[in-house]
Amino acid sequence: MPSKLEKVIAALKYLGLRPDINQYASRFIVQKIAFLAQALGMEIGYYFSIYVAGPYSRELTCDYYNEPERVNSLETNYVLTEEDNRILDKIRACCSFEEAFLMECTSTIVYFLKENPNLTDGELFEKTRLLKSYLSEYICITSLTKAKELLFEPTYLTEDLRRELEQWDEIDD
Amino acid sequence: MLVQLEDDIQTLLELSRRINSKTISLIRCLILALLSHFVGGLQYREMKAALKISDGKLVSNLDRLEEMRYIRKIETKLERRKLTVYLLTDEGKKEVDKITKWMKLAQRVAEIGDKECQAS
Repeated sequence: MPSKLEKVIAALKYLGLRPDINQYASRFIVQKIAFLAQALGMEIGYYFSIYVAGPYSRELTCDYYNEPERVNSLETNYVLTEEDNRILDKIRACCSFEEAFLMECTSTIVYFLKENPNLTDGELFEKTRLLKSYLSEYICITSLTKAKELLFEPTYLTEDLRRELEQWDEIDD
Repeated sequence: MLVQLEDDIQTLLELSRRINSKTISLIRCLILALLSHFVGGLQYREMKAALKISDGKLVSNLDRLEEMRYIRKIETKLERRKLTVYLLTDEGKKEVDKITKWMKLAQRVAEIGDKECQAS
């Protein structure tokens, strides 16, 4: 059975990233990507907390510190599923890995939305500003859109909806 | 139970002598506790937002812990912006272990004391 870390490495590899666990900036991005992939449905299995430096998983930190060479050389036996690829493509399309602060804020909002999908934009903005007061308003607002984009699942034309639309079409002008 | 209590109190006093009393302040203990959880390091700005204290207070406590070699600081860049990140050193880890052991023992002494009171 593939380990949790192997799945994270496979994700990093797919996204074309070259992590260096000795570098803080690299560890920072690994945490955020692992969280986003998991939040969007990739079955990784790490526990993430939000407070202070979140989304952050201590278990993931311990894992990559135990096997830094493995992460740095992107060595993994895990084969990504089609669904994993879809999730990672979505992350790639939505996030720029160069923009660390935006990723930090976006993953924070995704965390809040996963916890409570009914939060309004205003509540999300306030919660994020309270937790990450050092991030600018611009970053918070941009991240809000990105987080929603990431969590958006298209709803398809269901049979009920199709029938209803047909009824509307049949109405004479 | 009384013998156990006597032993625990004695150990508690002995352990107290081994703890660096300069680390026993709420802010310093909190900093050490946070850094022992966030093993990969914690940014200054994250610590400030979490502890909700002034820069002056935070900097002076961080400097003191750094002087004592319990924490170390690294300068890094994130999105071309300079950031200060703090990490716990091995000496810091040992000190955190001592403090937690001491606190657990203090809790046990208090609990035994409570039981004694209820029994009498």
